[in-house]
Amino acid sequence: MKAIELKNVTFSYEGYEAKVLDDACFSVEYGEVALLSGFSGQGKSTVLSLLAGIIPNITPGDIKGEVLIGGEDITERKMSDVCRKVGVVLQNAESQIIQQLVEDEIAFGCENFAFTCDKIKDCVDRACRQMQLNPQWKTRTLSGGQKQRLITAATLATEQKILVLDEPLANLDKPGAELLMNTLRQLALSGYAVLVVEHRLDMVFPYVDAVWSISNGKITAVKNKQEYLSAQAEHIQDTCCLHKVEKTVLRLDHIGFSVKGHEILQDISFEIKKGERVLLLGENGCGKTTLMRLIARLYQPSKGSIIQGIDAKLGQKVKGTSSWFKRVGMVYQNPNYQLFMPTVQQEVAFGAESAEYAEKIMQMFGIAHLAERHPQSLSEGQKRRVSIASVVATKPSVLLLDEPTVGQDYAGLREMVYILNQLHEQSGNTMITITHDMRCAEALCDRAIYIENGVVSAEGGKDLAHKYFYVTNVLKCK
Amino acid sequence: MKEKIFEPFKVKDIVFLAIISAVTLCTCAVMPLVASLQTVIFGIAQVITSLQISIFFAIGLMKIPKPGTLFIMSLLTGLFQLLMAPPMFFSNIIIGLLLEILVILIFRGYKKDSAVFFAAVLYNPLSLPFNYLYNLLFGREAMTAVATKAPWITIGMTLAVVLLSALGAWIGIKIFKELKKSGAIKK
Amino acid sequence: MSEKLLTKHPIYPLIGLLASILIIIFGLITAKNPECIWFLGGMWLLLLVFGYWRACLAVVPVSVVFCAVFAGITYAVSGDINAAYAAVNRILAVCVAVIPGLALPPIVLVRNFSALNLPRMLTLGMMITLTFFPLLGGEVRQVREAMKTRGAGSFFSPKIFYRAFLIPLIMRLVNISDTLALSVETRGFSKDAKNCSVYKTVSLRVVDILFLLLVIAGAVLAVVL
Repeated sequence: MKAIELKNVTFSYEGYEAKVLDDACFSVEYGEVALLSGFSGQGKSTVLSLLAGIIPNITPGDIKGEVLIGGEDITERKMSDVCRKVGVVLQNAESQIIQQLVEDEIAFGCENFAFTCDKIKDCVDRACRQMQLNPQWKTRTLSGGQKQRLITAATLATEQKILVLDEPLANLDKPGAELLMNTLRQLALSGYAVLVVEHRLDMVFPYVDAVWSISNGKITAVKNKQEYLSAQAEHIQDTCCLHKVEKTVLRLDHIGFSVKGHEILQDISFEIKKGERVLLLGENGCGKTTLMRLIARLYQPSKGSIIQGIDAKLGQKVKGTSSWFKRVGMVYQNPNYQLFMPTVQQEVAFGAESAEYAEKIMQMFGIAHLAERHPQSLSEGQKRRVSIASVVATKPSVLLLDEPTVGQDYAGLREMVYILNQLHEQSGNTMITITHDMRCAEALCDRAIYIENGVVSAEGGKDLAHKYFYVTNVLKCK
Repeated sequence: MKEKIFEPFKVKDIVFLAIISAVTLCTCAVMPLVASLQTVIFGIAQVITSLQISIFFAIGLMKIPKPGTLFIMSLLTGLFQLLMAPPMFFSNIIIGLLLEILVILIFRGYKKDSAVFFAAVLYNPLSLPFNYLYNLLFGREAMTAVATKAPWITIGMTLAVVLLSALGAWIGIKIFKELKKSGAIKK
Repeated sequence: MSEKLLTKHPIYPLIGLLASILIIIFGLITAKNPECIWFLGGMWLLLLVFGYWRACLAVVPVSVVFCAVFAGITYAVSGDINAAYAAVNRILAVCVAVIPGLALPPIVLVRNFSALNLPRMLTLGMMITLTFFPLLGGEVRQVREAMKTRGAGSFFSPKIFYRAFLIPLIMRLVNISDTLALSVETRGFSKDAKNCSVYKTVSLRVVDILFLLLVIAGAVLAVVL
């Protein structure tokens, strides 16, 4: 009997004709760690929702075929029944923690399953050991990686023999990711069935027994892992000519940053020249986003200084002003924070020098056909394009991009990289980018800076980015 | 056919109301700064919190237009009052109950925008009489001095609370309808 | 509410609340009587002895300031020293009554409600409100920062300001609540659940009853003596 099985499943969401799954077949055995991989928008979350009972109990839709958990069709079962068979770890750990102590958070699920107090204590202790957590820690003071481990621990504690994890390595640094994957591996060896949906293929591959790929509504088994990884990692060429002027626009001098006694950045020093494209590299939690926010003058450094050479009129103040943000464009990792106008056209036009220029930018980014749509009604990939276009429309001299490529499929990604580089060539702007996407990292940089342990561990050109993504990480998959 | 007024709450309804209540409390965190002025400037606490409370309560009612929504939000936002000033918590509950009854009697529920507007506008101003009573009990002479020597402050502040609540309710309803129409939010 | 003021072993929450209400009511009724200040002093000492010493010490400077202000205004307005004394007593009654609530970890109050079989959905809502209250402050800050990056942070453009603040914030709230609701339900929470256990419960202890009896005794003594 298979732990998880999709038998000829066809599914479309209520109100939509498009089939997200089209006669899809897929299975996971007990004693196995399986990976479900695919680009954004292909249906991975839909599969997860089917397995967790979220579809059709919470999200309605048209289902054909069978969704079998432990040999039993769950399409007609209530969520309260399904969750006793399948443990689910969702994305965005921070939005899921409701208790103030680690042990209470882990105990929450056990309480719902009516475990006895003694059993709950055992489960809490075991889950904390597995995820290296202290039961007495306050949940509010946990780091992003610890929160991710906490929600995973909360699911492990309820002892379902089938586990489904959605992007469990998000926010985890290398040791944290290895800890989790090792734990999952051990659970599989003891008879559990584990299904992981993850983008960080390089981290996950050494631990998985089976790989499934979802695309165009179909789910297919991947026979050759290495070939598959290479295909996913097919990288985009940089068509941008080197464009550098010697003037320094930003100089970081011994920057340090701490929050509540926790040191995120220790001693960061480097210079950025006008017209450079710089890539910030580093593991989750190393402080790349923090550094970007310091450069953007959204945060103030605990020590050191950031000297700007963009425009003398902007001064050397620590806090950003409206004039500053006209010259320094910051694109957030989550585009939802920056979209507020009623239409895409008005969003891009806000801050643009003219309506004509806004129109030109919309054409360039391929979002002109969305002009009358409400920005918040778009898909995540579309929102990202709109947020970048809106910031770029103000013609900033320095453009800060935090994960600009998330949610883009390969074609969209190639297009996005081309547009950003084209803009760079036309305007001579300075670009500072953070990305985990190995396909486009080299195409977006002239120079890479690797941050580790709060300091600049290495500086280099594209070769550094290549080494970071292709050599160091891909070698682990062999 | 008798229209169904009372609908059961789902887990996601309660979760949303809890989140909305939490953000209402966050945006009203300025209130303790003026707490000491309450007995001297009548209604000051309500003036600085009216806008936020009416905006978020209107959004909560538009998202979950079920009888009981306002009462749940008043219960959840009153939690901190229960710890700091128990009598004020009870006034929260009474106002929540009173408005729920009025909305059911007058509008038969929150399906119409006018019902949402009515409830969101009146919630904070209805706390003024309780505030007056509270102040009278604890700041008697000071209160009387202000009321008799500058009654225009009391009238002005009351009007300001009502106007700000109305503005907030209107904004909340407008924003929600825009997001719902665009498909960004589903009820 | 500062975490530094929280006590490790609070009195049974509902008894603490009952005591707060008793102190306020007694303080109001007997504000003009000379025994009132002795009663309030006694209650403050009782709370100090029962482990609320951090909160007891924290309210002292606040009480002094408030009492001085209100006594001053009252005396200036009425010219009556007895009225000023009554004002002091009322303020002290509020300050002492606040102590059990100040020092109570809110989650203990929610557990108390759970133990009293309040509907699970309501106690879940309370827990979420209490836990997310500090977290959402961070979300509000993020939205304000994002507004600045788009040049929409000026109070002088209220129409843009309110859009730039509310729309991203509401979308974030909706996303957070959707994720949280799913997480809670996939972890087995159900409004219809007949069986569930309670890992940490709040029980009435002898010391809680003793505390309440001492509060009542203090009130009686203040009247009788």
